[in-house]
Amino acid sequence: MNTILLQAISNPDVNLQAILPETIVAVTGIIVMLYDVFAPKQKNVTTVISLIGLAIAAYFMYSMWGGGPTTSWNGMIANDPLRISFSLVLLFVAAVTILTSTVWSERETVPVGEYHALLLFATFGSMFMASGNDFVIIFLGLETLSIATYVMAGLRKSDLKSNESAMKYFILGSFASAFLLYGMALIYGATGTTNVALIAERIASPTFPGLLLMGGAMLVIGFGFKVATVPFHVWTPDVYEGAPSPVTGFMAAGPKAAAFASFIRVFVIGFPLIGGATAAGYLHESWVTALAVMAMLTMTVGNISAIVQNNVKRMLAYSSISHAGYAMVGFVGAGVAKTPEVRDAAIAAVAFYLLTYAVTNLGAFSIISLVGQKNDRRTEFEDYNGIGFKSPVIAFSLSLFMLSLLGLPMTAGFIGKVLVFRPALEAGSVMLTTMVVVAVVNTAISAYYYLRLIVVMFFRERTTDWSEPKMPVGVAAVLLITIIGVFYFGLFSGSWIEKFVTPSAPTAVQAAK
Amino acid sequence: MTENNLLSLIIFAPLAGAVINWLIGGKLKNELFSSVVACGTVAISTIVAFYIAFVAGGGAFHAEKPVLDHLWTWIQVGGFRADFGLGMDRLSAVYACFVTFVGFLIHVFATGYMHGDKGFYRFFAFLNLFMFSMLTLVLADNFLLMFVGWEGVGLCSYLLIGYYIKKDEAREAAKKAFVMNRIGDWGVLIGVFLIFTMTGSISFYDKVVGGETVPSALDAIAKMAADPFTAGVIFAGGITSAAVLLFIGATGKSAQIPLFTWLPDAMAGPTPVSALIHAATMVTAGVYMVVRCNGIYQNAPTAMFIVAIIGCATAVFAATIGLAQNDIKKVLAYSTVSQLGYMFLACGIGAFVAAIFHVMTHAFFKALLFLGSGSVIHGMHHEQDMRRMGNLRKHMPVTFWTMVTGWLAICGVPIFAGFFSKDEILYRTFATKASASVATLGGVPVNMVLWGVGLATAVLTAVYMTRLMWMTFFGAERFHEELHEVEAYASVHADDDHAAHGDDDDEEEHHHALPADFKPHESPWNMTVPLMVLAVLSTLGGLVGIPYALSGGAVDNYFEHALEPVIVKKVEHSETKEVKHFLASEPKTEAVSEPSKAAEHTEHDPAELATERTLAVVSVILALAGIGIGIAMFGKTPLRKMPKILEDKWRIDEFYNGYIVDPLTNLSRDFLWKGFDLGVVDGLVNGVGALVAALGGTVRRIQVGFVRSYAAFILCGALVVIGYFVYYGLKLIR
Repeated sequence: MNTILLQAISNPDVNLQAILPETIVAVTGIIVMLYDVFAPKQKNVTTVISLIGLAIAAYFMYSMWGGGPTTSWNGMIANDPLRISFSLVLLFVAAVTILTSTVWSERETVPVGEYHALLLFATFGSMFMASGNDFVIIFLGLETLSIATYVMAGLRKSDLKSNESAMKYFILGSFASAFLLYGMALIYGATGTTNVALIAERIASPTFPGLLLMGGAMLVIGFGFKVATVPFHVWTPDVYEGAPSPVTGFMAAGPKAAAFASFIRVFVIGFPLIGGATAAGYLHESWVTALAVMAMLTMTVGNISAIVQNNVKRMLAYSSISHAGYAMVGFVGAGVAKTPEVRDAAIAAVAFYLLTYAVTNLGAFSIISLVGQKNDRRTEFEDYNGIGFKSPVIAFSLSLFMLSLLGLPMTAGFIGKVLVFRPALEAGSVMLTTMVVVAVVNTAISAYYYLRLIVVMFFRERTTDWSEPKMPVGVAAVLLITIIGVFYFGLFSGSWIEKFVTPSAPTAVQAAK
Repeated sequence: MTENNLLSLIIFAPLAGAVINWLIGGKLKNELFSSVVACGTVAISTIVAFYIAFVAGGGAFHAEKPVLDHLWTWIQVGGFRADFGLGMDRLSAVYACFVTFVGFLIHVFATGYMHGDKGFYRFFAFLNLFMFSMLTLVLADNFLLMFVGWEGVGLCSYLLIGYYIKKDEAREAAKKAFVMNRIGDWGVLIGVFLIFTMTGSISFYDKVVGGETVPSALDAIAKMAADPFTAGVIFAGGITSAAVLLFIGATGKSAQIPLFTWLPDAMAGPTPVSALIHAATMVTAGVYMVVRCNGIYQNAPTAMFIVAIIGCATAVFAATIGLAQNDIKKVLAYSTVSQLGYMFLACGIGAFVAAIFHVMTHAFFKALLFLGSGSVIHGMHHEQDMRRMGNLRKHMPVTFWTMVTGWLAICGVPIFAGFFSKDEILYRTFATKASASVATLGGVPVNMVLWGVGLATAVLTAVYMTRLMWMTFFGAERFHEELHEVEAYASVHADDDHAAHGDDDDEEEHHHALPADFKPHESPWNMTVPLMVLAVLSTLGGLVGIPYALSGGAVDNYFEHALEPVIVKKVEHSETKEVKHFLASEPKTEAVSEPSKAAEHTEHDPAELATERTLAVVSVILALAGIGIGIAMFGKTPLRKMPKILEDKWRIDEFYNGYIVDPLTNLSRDFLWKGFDLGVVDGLVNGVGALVAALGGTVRRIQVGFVRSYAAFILCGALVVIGYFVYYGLKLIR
């Protein structure tokens, strides 16, 4: 043990190339922050800088594809499809969020430069959650992400709701981080390592089997909070409703995807089923069952609650809860996969699902932001009454996003759902099949509230005046990207799914040896 | 496997036309522009379709293997694969050619018919979109893409029936058509699921895509053992179930019992639409699907039996209704339903080629009759009631003479197209050997009953068509007469017209009181030329399928032999008898001299030939008799009162409304809406609201909940999760 440690210290496995995209995002964040200090009046310069930084990072991230699964920094950073696919989703989310928030530049006094810097730091943290192959890195990433997001939720300093949102998010988030950290500590106690790959080897013969299960439970709670699964979802509606709309869109897509990335890495790769090992067997069985039950609860509670909402942002908050449930269906499917190929395909399915969800949801939130006006005043269903033919661009794109969220064929949402449901269905166990049935029934339930918004827009009479919001270039670009994305992923998803799976077998285990 | 990327041009040209007309035509509002775009794109499709079918690489119509065009892989998930790929085999070739060609003529006709309409560009955009969907349907190389086309034509049909959106009748009819089609669509969808479950493929053809072999689902099922002929297999989830489910879809799309009532109502759309969609092309999609799946049906005798019975029943049933209608388009609509019944009868008794032959000839003469009626309606300033016509042959000679050919064709007078196809169906019914159809019913073989009913329908057809001709083109001019009888049908109809009348110019104008100096006029050239072309086709189009017996042995049935490879051979002598197509000019002696083809000619057994000839004579006599009866009954008294029950269409609509629609409406309103929506959902909403309000009244709150209660909630959840894991941990200790 000591010799390994000593070796690691004296001969550090430095590989800057491996964390180049993360570094670029961080450096861009620092540049943006510094620029903002010297030119606080600017509105669009930091937008451009951030976008360029994200694009370069995405380019380097993309170019890592096909290199084969490796690890670097003494096994702390993984370089596998799981990381790359999720990281690209995260970079995409960040870029679109920046474009969406150009709605502020005209009508609100939000500190734009600060906001961009925070967003980039949050993205930096979330990318480390995707690439972290070690509890320490994952936790660091999570905290970097969380702290930046807490501040972003409270960006409208003069708005009571925004402040409340940040406060609630911070308190409850710290509460959950405590569980997560405690869980990590317990797992370390049981196995003597914080490296996910080594944990996967050692759970077969843990030092303290009891701690293993306890730690697993704590991790479920901690990650469960971050991805907002029932019963750890209670913070979501309030926080989402209070936060500025572009931030809400970001929170529903970015941090959630990042949390899923580490959640999957820790559980699917770190806690596999090992033949003959009792403790590992119990751990696997218990987390799969727990997550399956939570997935069913999450979908159902999310959808039922969404039905009764009168506020569009709140409705989308509950909708995002139910979507986390759908994604967990694929997650559990990956957990029970019998071969590495099936497992990787299932992980890729979850990544793809979150990508489709991000595309659709960001599109929807860009319109919510646009319609919302200053301080998100117009976010009730009533505010959308009868705008259908008065503002056709807004109404038709929002309808499209609703249909994609619902999962109508030809849209991205449909392919995403098909992909995540499949691995669970093919596992052939009664519980997982039940889970898929629940998911499909839930999809049907969700039609009620998604279609309701369309009905409201096109078939209700409007009683108040409607002033069509001016559409900034940034938002127009977002709409274009997301609408094309919805159709593109709905029709030509094949090549991307393949990309997300290759290179096959990201066996972090062998690389860490 | 042949690839030809031109195939996609056939479907995408009309799509481009639709987009251009919608985006640019809508701005320009120029009729010439819209006409040129719409007709031009369909003309491109037509040329390409004929080129691929007959010229490129010997022509798909003569090739052994289908011409394929893989555009992209749509969905590939595990074992499931759906391509966006097109394929043209001989069956698709026939369909593609007549759909594009007849479609083109109807487009040209419509430029005249729709002249002056405010929504000119919108009409042609929809019409082009329809062509796109229809061609996707017939050229798709797998079930899923076919279903996309299937839904697409349904949508276009809905849009075009409801084209006169200000008219209640049109809106109701559009809705009815859509709902009835949806009822059928679930059958198709579940049928396709079932086929996928059985075979693991949804492709029509064996093909190789990106190095991966995709087997044909149809061949796979054709190779399976046939289901027995019992009623139980319908619900067994096997081949028969799939066949029956697909047929349910076909009854919706092709207006068969019990889902036929939408088609007559669909006549509320503009007449070119009726001609294109509701006579020539879309409604025959059901026949296409059944013939495409003939491998499935041949293994499902029970399903074949059902198809035959339904087809035959629809044929005679619709014909009786057609006898008593007064709206010229309604007569033709019921006639269409009846003729579609013939096609399904042919499918049901195993004469798939005959069905397709009838589809093709029917497309010619029915499109002609509809366009002719459109020309009449146009000339009569949108009067559709035949009781107010009469003696039009004097005013509209071209329309009259072209209509005459259509009339003779549908009645089954020799040389005209309808004769050959209808006679073929009747002969095949008489001579069928399909196991199901020769079952006996009270001592009489079923196929004899079917044949008898088919003959009776032929007579009825001749009668009602003669009635139509006489009411419209002969007798006294009744343009200015008031209708005396106050009948249920007429009054309802008149109400619709009055409601519609006086609205703005967006709709077809109805003139109940024609001006005193009114004279019907002949239509412009762009309406009469398509009529003439179709008249030629209705006259001569049947000659491609002239059977061996009737040509005196000079010509073998070209059409039938060309299409034979499409039909799966269940009888196992196909190994020795490699089917080759016979060019019409191929001398008979050559054929006999080749030993491999000798087997072919044993089919032409002299006794059978004699039967076929006798039956042909019988049907000619019956057709002429029908015409005679028609003239005798309506020659002098065109306004003869018809039985009320027929005029009321056997009161099927009332039956559906009373027993299905109303109960469903009541259930939805009283239980689902008032009970569930208002009671449960709204109750929930209001309950939550009340709870929140109550909280707000007593405690000062920031929003809805408190952080501490949230934290407590999370803690409870956490305890449950930990408890669950600990439960496993305890097991470990024990």
